[in-house]
Amino acid sequence: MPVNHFDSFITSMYEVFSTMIGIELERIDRFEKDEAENQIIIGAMVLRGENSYLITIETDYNSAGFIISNMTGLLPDELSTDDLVDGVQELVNIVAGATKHKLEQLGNGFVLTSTFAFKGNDVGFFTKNGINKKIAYFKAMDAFITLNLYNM
Amino acid sequence: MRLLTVDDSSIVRKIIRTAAKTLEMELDEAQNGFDALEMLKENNGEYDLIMLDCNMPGMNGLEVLDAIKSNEKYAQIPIMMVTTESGKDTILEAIRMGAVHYMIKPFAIEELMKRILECLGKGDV
Repeated sequence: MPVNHFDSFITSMYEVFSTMIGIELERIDRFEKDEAENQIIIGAMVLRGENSYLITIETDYNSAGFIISNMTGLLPDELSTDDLVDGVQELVNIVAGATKHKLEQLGNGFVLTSTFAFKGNDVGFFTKNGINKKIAYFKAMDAFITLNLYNM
Repeated sequence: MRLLTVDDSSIVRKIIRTAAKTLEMELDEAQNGFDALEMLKENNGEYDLIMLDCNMPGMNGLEVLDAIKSNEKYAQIPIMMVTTESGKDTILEAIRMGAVHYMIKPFAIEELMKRILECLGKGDV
């Protein structure tokens, strides 16, 4: 996986959170499992191109409530679980779209698929050995977010 | 002022709802192109601005744009694209087809409100 491709996804994460959500992300080494809830939402999308990627953004329900509340200007109580799932999917969509734009400037064309999502207790994303994967952990106030990038 | 947003994401519709509320404007919401065309028909095209996503299931944004601009009853309604789609060809095609503005996500809600007012000929916030 080209380093500048992964960096472009990271840059997009910072930009999207700063502009659309109004919060600054802090990249951290990792967070302990018990710092985040077990109820997880994973939003995912594929960028198809010469180098194809599966991007997932993973967060717990409380963190998603904080993020989507800031994104929409609504109180967390006004948001349903479906809203949180839709919001995490939209986050992936915007981060992937912004990264596609950056990589196109470097001569790499991509086609974006629809977004999809998983939710539940202790859900995770597992791949076969040999898939090139990079992970970045972020914190924004009390919210924890994980970006996973799989080079397919 | 009465606005119509067409987007399959409930979250994007909520963001636009917050912007419309702040601007003290009415907002109708459609989650796909078919519903949007039905709402235009029901409301006799009485919208001051339509905000349209590009990537939607069923009819995509450009197809909805074409359907609206091809109908003389609705052709004069300004349309602003609000989307993650940043391909130059898509942007040029939307402008050629009559979109007055093309807004690419991510954006701050203040920027969205500013663009809405500009599209309505009301200048800055």
